[in-house]
Amino acid sequence: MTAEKLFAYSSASVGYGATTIVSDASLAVHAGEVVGLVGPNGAGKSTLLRAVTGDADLLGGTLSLAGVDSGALSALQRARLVGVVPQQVTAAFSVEAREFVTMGRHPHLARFAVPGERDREVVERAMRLTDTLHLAEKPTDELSGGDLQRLALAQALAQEPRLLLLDEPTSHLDLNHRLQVLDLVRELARDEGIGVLAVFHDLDLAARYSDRIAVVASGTVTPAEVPARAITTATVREVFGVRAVVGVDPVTGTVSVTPVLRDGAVAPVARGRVLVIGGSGCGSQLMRRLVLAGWDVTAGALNAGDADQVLAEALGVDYAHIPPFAPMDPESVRRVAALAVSADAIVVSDVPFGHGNVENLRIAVEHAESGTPVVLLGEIEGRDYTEGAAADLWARARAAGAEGAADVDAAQLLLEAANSR
Amino acid sequence: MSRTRRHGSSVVAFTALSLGLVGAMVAGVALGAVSVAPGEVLGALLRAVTGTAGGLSDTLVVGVRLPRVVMAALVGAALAGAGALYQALFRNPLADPYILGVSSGAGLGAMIAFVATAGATVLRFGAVPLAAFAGAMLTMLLVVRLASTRGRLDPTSLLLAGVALSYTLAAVTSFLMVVSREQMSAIVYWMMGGFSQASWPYIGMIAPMFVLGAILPLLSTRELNLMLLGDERAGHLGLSVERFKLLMLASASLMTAAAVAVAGLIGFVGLMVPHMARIVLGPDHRRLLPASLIAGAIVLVLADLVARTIIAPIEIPVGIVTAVLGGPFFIWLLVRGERR
Amino acid sequence: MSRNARTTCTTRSTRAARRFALVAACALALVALVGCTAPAEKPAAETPKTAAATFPVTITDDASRTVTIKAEPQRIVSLAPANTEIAFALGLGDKVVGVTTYDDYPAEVTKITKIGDFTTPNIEAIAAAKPDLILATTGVQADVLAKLEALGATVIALDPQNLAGVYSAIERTGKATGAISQAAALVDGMKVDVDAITASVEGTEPVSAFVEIAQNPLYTAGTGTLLDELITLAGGTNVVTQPSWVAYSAEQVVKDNPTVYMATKGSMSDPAQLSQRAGFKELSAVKNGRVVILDDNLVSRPGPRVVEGLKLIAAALHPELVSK
Repeated sequence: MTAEKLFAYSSASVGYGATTIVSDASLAVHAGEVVGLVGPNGAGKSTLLRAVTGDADLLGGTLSLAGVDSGALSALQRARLVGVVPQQVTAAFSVEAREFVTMGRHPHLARFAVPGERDREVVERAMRLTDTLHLAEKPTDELSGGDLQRLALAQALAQEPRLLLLDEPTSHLDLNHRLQVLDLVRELARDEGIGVLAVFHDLDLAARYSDRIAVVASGTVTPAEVPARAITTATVREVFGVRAVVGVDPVTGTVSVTPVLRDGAVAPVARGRVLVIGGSGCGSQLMRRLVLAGWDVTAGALNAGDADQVLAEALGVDYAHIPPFAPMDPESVRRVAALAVSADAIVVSDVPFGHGNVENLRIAVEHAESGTPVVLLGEIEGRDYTEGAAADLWARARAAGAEGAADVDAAQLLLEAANSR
Repeated sequence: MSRTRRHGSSVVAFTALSLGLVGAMVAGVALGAVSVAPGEVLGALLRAVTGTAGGLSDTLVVGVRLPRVVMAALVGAALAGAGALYQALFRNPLADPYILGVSSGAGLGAMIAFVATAGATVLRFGAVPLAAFAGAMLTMLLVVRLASTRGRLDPTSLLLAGVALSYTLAAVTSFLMVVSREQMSAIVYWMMGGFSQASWPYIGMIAPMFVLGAILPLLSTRELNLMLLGDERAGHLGLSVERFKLLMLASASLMTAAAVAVAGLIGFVGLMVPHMARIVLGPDHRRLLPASLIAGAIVLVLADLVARTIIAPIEIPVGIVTAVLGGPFFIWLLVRGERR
Repeated sequence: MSRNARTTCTTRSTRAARRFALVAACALALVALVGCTAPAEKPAAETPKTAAATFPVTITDDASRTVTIKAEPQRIVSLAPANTEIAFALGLGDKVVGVTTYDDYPAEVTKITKIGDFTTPNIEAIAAAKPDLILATTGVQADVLAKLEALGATVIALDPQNLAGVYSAIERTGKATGAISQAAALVDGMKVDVDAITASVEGTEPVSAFVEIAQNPLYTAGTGTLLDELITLAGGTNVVTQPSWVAYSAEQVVKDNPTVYMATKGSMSDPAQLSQRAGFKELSAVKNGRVVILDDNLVSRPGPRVVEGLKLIAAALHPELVSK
């Protein structure tokens, strides 16, 4: 990158006094770039920002701001370089909003100077950009948290900073203002070359507005990478303990994260292994429910891009992978058979069967006949697209003792009953 | 900072304050235990200017009352200024030199100097205010330290530490009085507070302390306004918070010491005057601080006037007057705070 | 403040110290109001001085208590410097087994066991001294009289408010200790000295006077105080007409313009200092060099040496007639 490096932690440790919170952090922000920090609560995202302004301690390594060691900058010099928008903005006193924003001019005013024409212009522009001009005459102690947050951004902009530090800058904003503020931050980075280091609470927003994202967890920081590489199913599960569908938003083209379940919500019991025969999203609810109930869930053959396949990836479920819209090949049949052998029970969802996936059903039926407990969800009528082959298999399964379940709840109860035998 | 709609006009307020101060001081020199006709008061002042003073009314008006009024004004301004500073620095509406224990610290310092310089009038003259300043500053730093955990200042702890320390200091003061019996009565009466010792030499002694203590804060009102945002935000906006606080605490302690060294312990002025100013003029220190200084002067000049005339020729300690005014005000403040 | 009038200067100061503690507790107003309005105590009843030195004897003390002393006391504890001075003046010094830390006269008291200070006598220390007679006072000690009696000692509270009260206190102490004749002789001697002083100033124009007890606030002795009586006896008039001990207006002093300005040693040590105070350089007493420092222990301690105090004041008011 050729843009100027405005911010750089190099092997830095930050914390409070003797307590180190993040160590060996190396992180840079260049002019015109938005770098997002994500990570679980308490991981030290805010601490990394707070150490820049001396509100937390830099305990090791270096921090340079626009090429200058941060320790060599006075508070005043730093304030001309760095604007901060804090997580919580309080104003338990009554001044006009415009005056509140004008306080941001402090680092540019000579010791006893009063704000002049240019200062007024900068303030006016900052308020216009943050959509706060209509609040200009209002006393700060009568404003909402969201208004104050935007005023704090205006105040930081009035500093004319080269680097903006945003600590969850939109936590008190409604959806419209949240997007408005972040759009503004992006524009400032693009048009005015401001470097932005922002802590994000929301992974979607982080992915959408950051050029690069660094993950803060387990006391350190991962190298900042483009959102698609920084935010994956694996990182989300590892860092947040959440199994999520991570995909590219078809509308915005940015990475989106849809949480499915929390690791912490999984029942802490070992119920055995169950093979779910699904596809076309018909197995999704079963897989999620059974994982939550403590089952070691595997799945039959699933096409890439199929809703059940996406979920299986998110849940970390082992399954046989087949290309999009392709029928099961011998390799996938062997794979499903192997999964069936190791399963304590099999559940067949109400997925429609065609020639491409009927092998899934055949394997289930064979194991039913050899004594594995099998639960069949719903009836076969209306979803047999194999000219009767699937219906025959269904009948064979019932003859072999497979039990029928009307819905997912019933299927779960039958599986648990079979497992406890 | 411009004012919000809730607050009064600067021009009106400062005109009223200036007139009020002039009025209070005129009343202060015109009224007293001995009645002097208004014409005589005016005559005495004129004769003082022309240097031809001589008679009884000249002595009363110019010799006795004028220094007393000037001293009460200085002490009132110093206490209110210190109170406004403490309230700004700690963002605590209950902070004042008395509650934070700074007055007691200044008192103890002054008393130690008082005992140590017994008989040495000239030495005492310089040592007492200096020791009062040292006592005030040390107490302030100790209170701040006691109330801080990991660099954070808890407002409740601050007041508790201040009150606890001021009791401790009062106890040490009492103990020292017991063990230095020769000086005891002089100290005790002096600690009760008041202006009956007012004189031009004393004014000359505390006026520089007051000016020194007031000038820096008056020139730092923009920074004081930043402190309204909290230490961290003030730092984000370019204020070297720790250094600024120390300078302001030193200024406030200097003003407190100036007041305590000559007038003993006078409570409530430092608390209630900045509040009244804030209610009328808002939190902008460019208005609040000068207004507090002037209003503090007015309040103590008038309180002293009441103290020396209400059952004349017997005087009551001015602390009684300020306490009678301040106590109910304090309660009102608390009740009002709860309703909010 | 009237309680102060009954006791010595140093005790007054300690009460003020306690009052200071109350100031810290914001109770100043209440205390000061009480202090300003309490009336002076009535003088003690006269007792016959010709009774024989036989026991038991019964006397009425200054706390209006009727006290019977069954046998001649051998171990006396004094809880006030004035009482100690009376006991020593009656030749009972070798029977005094306990005094307060405030005691400084006569010199022998320094060797006697200290049983605490004036305001807070230490009951355990007193018990350890095994007294059969305790010479207490009222005021601050009013609360502990009963406690002292529980020690098995006879307790007499003495608290003279004026010269007659001092005589009576001496006589009652004599009666209680079997030193009746010594008491009579002491009182007679004092009366002779007092008469001599009053005689020497007789016929002179009363000199207006002011006496300063404390500087800031300016405290003085008003009517009903021992000091006021001494000023009158010494051929003076106190410019202060308010009763008891009062904080007094400096400008009223300027207006009163006393011929002689007196100050106790505890308040002011250097007369030259007075001229530095606002407006006081115009006082005729300052202009004419008639500022006098008085020994607190002589002028306000209600014991035998009060006569010396009277002489000091007379010498201050009429230096041409009376010498120190």
